[in-house]
Amino acid sequence: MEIVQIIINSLIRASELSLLALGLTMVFDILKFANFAHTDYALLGAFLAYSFSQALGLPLIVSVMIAAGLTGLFGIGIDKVLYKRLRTIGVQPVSLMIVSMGVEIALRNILRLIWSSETKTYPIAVVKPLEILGARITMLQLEIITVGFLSMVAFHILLHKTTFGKALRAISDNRALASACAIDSEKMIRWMWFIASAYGVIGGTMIAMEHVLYPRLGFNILIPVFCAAILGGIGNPYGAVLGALILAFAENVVLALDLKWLLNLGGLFHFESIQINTGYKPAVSFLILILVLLFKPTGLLRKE
Amino acid sequence: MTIVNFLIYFLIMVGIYALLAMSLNLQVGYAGLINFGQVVFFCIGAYTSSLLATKTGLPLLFCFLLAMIVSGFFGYVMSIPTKSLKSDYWAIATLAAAEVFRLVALNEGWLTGGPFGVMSIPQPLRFLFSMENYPLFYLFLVTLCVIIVFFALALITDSPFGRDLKAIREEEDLCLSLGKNTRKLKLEAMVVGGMVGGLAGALFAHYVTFISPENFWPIETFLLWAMIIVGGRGNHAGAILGAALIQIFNVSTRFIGEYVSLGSDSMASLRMVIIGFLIIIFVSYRPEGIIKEKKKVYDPRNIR
Amino acid sequence: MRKIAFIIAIAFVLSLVIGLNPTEAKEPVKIGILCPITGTQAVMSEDLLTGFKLAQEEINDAGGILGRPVKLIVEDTETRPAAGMDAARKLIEVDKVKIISGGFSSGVALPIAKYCQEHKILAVFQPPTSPLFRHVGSYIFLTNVLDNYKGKVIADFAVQDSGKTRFATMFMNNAFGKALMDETLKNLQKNGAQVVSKVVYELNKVDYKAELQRLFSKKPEAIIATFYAKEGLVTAKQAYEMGMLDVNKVPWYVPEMTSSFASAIKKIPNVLEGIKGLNPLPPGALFMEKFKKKMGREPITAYAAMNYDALVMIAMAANFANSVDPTKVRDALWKIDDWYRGQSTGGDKRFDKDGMQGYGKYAKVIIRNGKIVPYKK
Repeated sequence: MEIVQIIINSLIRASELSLLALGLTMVFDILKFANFAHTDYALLGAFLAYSFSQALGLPLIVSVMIAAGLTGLFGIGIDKVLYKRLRTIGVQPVSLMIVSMGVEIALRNILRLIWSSETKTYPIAVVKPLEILGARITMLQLEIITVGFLSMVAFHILLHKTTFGKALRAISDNRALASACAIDSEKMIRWMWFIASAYGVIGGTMIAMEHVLYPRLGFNILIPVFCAAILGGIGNPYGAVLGALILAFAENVVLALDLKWLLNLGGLFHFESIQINTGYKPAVSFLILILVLLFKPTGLLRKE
Repeated sequence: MTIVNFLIYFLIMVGIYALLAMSLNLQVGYAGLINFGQVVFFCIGAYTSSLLATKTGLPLLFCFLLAMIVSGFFGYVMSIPTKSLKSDYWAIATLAAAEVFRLVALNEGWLTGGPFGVMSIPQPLRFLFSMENYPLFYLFLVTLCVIIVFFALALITDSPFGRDLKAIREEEDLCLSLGKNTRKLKLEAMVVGGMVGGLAGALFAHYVTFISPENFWPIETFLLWAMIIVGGRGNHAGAILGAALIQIFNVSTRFIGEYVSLGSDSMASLRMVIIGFLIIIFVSYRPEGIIKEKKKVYDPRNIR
Repeated sequence: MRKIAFIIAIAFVLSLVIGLNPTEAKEPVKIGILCPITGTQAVMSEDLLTGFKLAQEEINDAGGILGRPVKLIVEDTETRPAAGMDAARKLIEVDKVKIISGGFSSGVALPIAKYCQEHKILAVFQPPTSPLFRHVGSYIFLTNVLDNYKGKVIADFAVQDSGKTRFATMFMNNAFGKALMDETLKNLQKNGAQVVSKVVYELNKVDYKAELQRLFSKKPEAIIATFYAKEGLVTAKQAYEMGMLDVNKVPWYVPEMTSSFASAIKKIPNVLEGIKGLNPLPPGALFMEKFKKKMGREPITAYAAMNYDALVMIAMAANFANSVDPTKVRDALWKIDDWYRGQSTGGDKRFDKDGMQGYGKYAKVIIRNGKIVPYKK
């Protein structure tokens, strides 16, 4: 019974994380830099969606769509103002990463300036959950898993069945060759920013809907999202999903593990129960990230 | 209890941050190592020295030295993966590693006092001075450390070793092809950087006489980055200038707060927004910082 | 009765003021206020500051301290020890205040308290309630009750009220949570109860499902848990969704009801139904009336009244001592506390020899129909 609940909780968390990891992995792959502000873009969208639904009274789903679109444009805008210039003068990608760290700090605090640090919740009623095999899941959580799954399918189609997807994969493989084939790589990069940011907004809003919304949320989920993207293998969207799944499962299962059977050596000792101190839960994603980087920095799945 | 006391306190903090910034600058500005976990040296130095002093009663000089050694050793450990890991991956790993250390300090209460931190940390040569004069002595001590570290680092970076370090930053592959052992150079930069960071941590702990895990949030690392970016990467004077400027900026908002009619929450957010923008603007438009790195041109005629 | 005591107090202040030489320069008496305006505990800052402002207005209307008006200099601790220290030093060294008051988390307040003690600055603090404060020194006073009492009262309450013996606990991983947890565990044991799982959680996270899962993994019969507003909202929601908030099966006891559920009670009151716990005794009726008049609402927490008491007691002690010297005011605090009828923690504001509140009384409360109401078995 407990294990079913753990699986369900992991699925929900993975759905949220994978949409965020997806955008990160795309940008990392094409532009070769880790965008530290990625989760804050997502949070900007989540706050916009909150305001649209509160102030304008728009239905939540519509608010999220508009917010995702606007944040997509915001992603393009930032690229145009900051990253494009640096790309064209040919600075090292690490400088872009440092700039994105500056964007992260500034954007997080702009959010706090506008929306204040007070905790916000979306107008979703808390209802009694459904019971499946003794585990519980709410309608909202079911929707989150569904939206997560559908978004992934949509992304798959986008990548494999459209010219945009083909062009993007071509750029990813070999930028010079792609431009030789008359692919407008700057245009493709703009589209990529749009999609990465908009997908992030869907993921970010799902996290905020299921839990709460406040300005520091973006920074709090940054390392888990990095962890999922790198664990899965940068540049591989399916890897991002796999990474999110593994991470989510690890986060949920670590606290439930009881190591007494291991240490008691078949009845030699009699430890009551050996469990990991719950204070270490935030370290799970950090440690997985470090271990992956040390032993398999290319991630689990190869780039397609 | 005069404004002079505040000035002394302020200068001591500038000195401690200057040490941390010089340490980071050695790693970033000279060896091109993007360390997003610089605060970990600060943390290790502070805890090592204060725990040795409070639990074993070792003479403080040894506490300081051991803090530097332990912190330098951790610098060595951190440098190991630089061999195989790309610099941006390594950067993300350092951010995670710093958080893991903070969590260890928070959760291993038997050693570190957990969330209560370490209290009543003894101060060096405290008995020689009156309450009023002691801060002045400490300022002298910190200034001495800054000067020694400044010249020691200058000695290192002006040596062939320093030139090689800069060469790694510019063209690592070229360096390798010239038969330079880049791994060894990076290792040395990390060990020296770690020792200086540890010294700063020890100086901080014995000055404020109370440390807790709350002193070591990642935000401290980002402030250090702002310092070296603004001051100027690749030269030690720039790091000191940056430390002073950012500290002045941080404290000044307390004083203008009375004249600017903004709530404190907005004030704090605005302060961080400006820090973020400073990072963005300097990296984009003046990557060399305020103090430009001296590019030594070697006149072939002088070389015998 | 309280009203009469209050009027007597004010009359006393007035009489001292009039008795003094009125020619003294009217330079204001500066009192430093430290408050978490930003950071994890910022939600309550408006309440906390209002408590001080009410006291300030009253003191100044009654003639101030030794005929001089009281001026408050407010600084933000940002709920960060380093920033708190910056703030305290600015107050003491630049603004030259000799007396500090304020309320903020124990982790931030401890180094400041030590600094005040070393420099003979009188500090009358309010919510840091870690037992460590008892031993900082003679210049440190608290108007709130230490956690030793709270840990004992919640443990006794939970064991006696539920009649259960298998407990699980959940506290935040900071100085406040750890101190309260240690006291609670000790007293649960004294009551013969067993603690089957101890959960500590990191603040500012969004997903506490794994922690909750662990909390319930060993089939506890009752829960003792405490939160801040944000974590209380998230945890209550997730516990409810995982079916863990069925208080008829497994009752919940919360040592700090109002501050734990300050957001949750507004946003999801229905899921909290039946949770029992403790609150500081509510502010006196007089204070409530004044607060409402000024702010148009009731105070969220009881802390506003503790700040009010802190400032009023400082003013009274200074007038009694006929001085603003921190040492003299400190000595006078032990004299005026006998007959000052406070507006917080039930009104008895007597300090013990360490400057701490000498006893601990709390209101037992329960959530009924989305409201925190007094609990009687």
